[in-house]
Amino acid sequence: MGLLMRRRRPLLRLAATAGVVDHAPKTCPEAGAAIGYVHVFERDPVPTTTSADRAAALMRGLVASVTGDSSVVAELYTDDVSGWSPSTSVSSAVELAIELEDTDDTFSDIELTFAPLDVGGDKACVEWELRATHTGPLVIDDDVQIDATGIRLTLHGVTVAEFDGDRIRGFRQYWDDAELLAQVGALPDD
Amino acid sequence: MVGVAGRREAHAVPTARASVDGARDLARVLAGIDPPLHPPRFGPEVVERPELRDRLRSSGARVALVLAPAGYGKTTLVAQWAALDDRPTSWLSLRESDNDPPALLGHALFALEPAGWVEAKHFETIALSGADLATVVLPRFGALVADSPPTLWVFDDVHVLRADGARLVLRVVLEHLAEGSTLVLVGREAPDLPIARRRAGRGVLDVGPEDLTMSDREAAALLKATGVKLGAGDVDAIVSRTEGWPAGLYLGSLATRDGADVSQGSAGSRAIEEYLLDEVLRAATPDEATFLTRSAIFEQIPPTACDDVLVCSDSAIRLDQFEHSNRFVRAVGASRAEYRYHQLFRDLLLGELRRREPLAEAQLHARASAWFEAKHDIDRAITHAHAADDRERVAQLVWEHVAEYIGTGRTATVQRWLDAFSAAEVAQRAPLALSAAWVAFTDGDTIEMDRWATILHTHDVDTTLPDGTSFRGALALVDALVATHGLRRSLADAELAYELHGPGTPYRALAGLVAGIASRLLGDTERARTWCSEALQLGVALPPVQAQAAAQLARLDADAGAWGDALRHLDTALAVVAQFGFEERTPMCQVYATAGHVHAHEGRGDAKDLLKHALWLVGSLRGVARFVVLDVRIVLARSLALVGELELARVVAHETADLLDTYPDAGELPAMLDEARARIDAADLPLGVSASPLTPAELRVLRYLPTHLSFAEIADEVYVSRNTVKTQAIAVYRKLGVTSRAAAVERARAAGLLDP
Repeated sequence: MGLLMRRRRPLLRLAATAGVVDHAPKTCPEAGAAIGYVHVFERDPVPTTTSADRAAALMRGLVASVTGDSSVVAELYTDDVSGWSPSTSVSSAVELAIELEDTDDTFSDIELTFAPLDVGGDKACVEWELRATHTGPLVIDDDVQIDATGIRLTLHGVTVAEFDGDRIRGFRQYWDDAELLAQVGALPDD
Repeated sequence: MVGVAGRREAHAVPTARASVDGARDLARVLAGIDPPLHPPRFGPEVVERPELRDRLRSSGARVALVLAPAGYGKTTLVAQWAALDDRPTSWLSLRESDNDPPALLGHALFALEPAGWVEAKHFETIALSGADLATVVLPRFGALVADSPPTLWVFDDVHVLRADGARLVLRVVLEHLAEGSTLVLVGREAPDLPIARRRAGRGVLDVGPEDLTMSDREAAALLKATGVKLGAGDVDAIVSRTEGWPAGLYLGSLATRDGADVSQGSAGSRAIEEYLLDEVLRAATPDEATFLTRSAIFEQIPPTACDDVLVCSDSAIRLDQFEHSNRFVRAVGASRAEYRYHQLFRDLLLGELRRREPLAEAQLHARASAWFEAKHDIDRAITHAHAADDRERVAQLVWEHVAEYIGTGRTATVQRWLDAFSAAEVAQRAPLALSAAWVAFTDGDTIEMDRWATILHTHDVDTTLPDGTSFRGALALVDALVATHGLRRSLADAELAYELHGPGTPYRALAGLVAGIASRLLGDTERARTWCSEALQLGVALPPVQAQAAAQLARLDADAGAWGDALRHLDTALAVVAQFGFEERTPMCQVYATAGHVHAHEGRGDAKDLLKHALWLVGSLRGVARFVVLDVRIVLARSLALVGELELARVVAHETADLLDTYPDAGELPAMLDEARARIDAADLPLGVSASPLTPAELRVLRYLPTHLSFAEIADEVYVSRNTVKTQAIAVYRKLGVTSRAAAVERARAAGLLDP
């Protein structure tokens, strides 16, 4: 757990693509459509009372965080959006855009699967599963770096977002760092 | 005083002892009937000088030397001091007869008598003893002086004492001065006394002409006291003319009261002339008088020039002696390398020169003009050529040196040379008319330059100017700058001017500069760069051209995206501006506009100030080289938008469009203005976005945004941390009002921050 506390990299980077050259805007994929090498699947939807638009917007945002596509920020987020994850936080749309664009080649061949949850009100909530191949250095902190292992990883998490109209004004992402680090062999054997 | 026979009788050793009273009476005879023993009394017109008087009273000096030429109020000042001093005053107003020691001694005893401690017996033992002066009389006198109570000893007109015996009497007073006494020597020059060692202990107070010159306030008080009513301007004129010389002020005010105009010269004041003639010139030997009148042709006299022009070899010695004897001449400056006469005295001397040697004045001035030209003191060479009434020589000198003087910021001097001619005289002489045109150009006054250009076209184009320059070439250069017929014609005129001016003439550089600017504005950047590079090299002799040529090269660099080269050329331009103090010269608007443009692009904080200074300069330019004005205004409009001054940018663009409408054959200028307007519109930022310019660090990051490099890779390129790059990128996005990298690039290109 000490490694998790020292690590400062935003988790969104784990979902980043490798070798992105073109930052041209990408449209939100339909369920099952491919975005380059990122494949997005949606499970059979569980009937909910969540606003379909809000859920769709949140999923587009999550896709953008994986692809590093900042062109959707202005559309999906308010200017003063605040976001939080265990390893980073943002307090404006500009900061969010920078974080989205801060890509590296740690992981590639990313698959993202969503399951929207019904939470009501002005919120949206999506449970997600991310699968990716560890193909580049994973920097834990200034002293620890895990070289590419080639391991196919799986990570589970939840993102909750509040909306102001049809744009996200705040979000929180939750996942288990230990689940990731254990798969790349960064945790000591018990 | 007593005649020579009387003095011989006084020197004879008396065969019988005279009675005490008889000795005193005899001393009185020797000293003269009613010798002046008291400070003079003055009328109501005397001006109090409390600061100077109090300085004398409070100095505590044992010896006070109040030395100045005639008419400086020395006696008056010391009399004012004596009137307030608690000590008894022994006042001797010396006369020629006092060169006889017994007479002087008797004079001194009479002066001490009112104090009450000089008795009649002292006259017998001192003034009339007949004993040896040096071994008997003077020691007795010295003892008397030493035993006297604190006394103010005043010897007025001390310069008349030239005899050794008389100076010995003074020396005795000096060396036996009682504690608390002060010896005051008033006159035109200091007597030869051992005062130097007393100076070391601040025992000597010197009051000279500089101290006695009246201030404006004192002069006004004096003029008022004489009952003369003058306006402030007339008072200033008289004070200036007399240089604060009290006698001159007094006599001048009397003359003014009688209807003379003293402010225009001593010609209106016979009293002043007579005073100076009597006090100075008539007292000089014939040889001295000749030297004085001939050397008066110099406003300021270098002794070496005086030697060559007057054909003598002792000018320095003579002038030093005249100064020492306070004959209205002073050394000038800390180095004391030159001298000058009081201007009223100089006027008198020149009048005497014209009277005594009518033909000499012009010859002397001609020789002086040649001397100063050889020493490259052109201003004085021209002054003397004018005084010699050699108009053609003046015109030649002006033309030969106008470029040099204008090029080093001395336009006012050239204007002064021209002002010595009437407008018609300037127009008649092509060298002077050309010089006047260049002065107008330097001042940014195209209306005046147009006028001179018209006049110049009335002259024969096939003449040759005094320095060998082709008049046709000089005229072509003027036409190129006036540029009435548009860019192509201006370029042709500039090229002709370049061809017809010989190598080494500064005008060739200016022709190259004009050709360079015209070529650039006609879209021929390669030719423009060649011309401007040539102008930069040749412009070393003409610094304004050098600065402008460097600025033009910077514009070419900036247009080509070579911002580093642009900055280097701007460094050259701004260094020349600073070195020669051209900051306020209107043609330098090109330098400041280009500097503001490049600095805005580079995100430097001083860009706005540079642009605003350029805007102020170009606003003062009344259109000289019209295409330059248009070009500068267009780059200003574009660059002001970069620094967030959108409204000002729009105003400048709008005004420039109006000016451009009336300009024929404008080359690329209309397209440049259109582009500037487009950039102004594109730079119109949304609300909430800071209009402050990007910092150099932010600009550096911005330049990498169009590439494929990640923030981490950009950090490696610029040797900062990844987080630093991200922080700078956040600032860039905020200032541009965007939330994506692609939008930042697009917005920056539209604002001219990135190349298309």
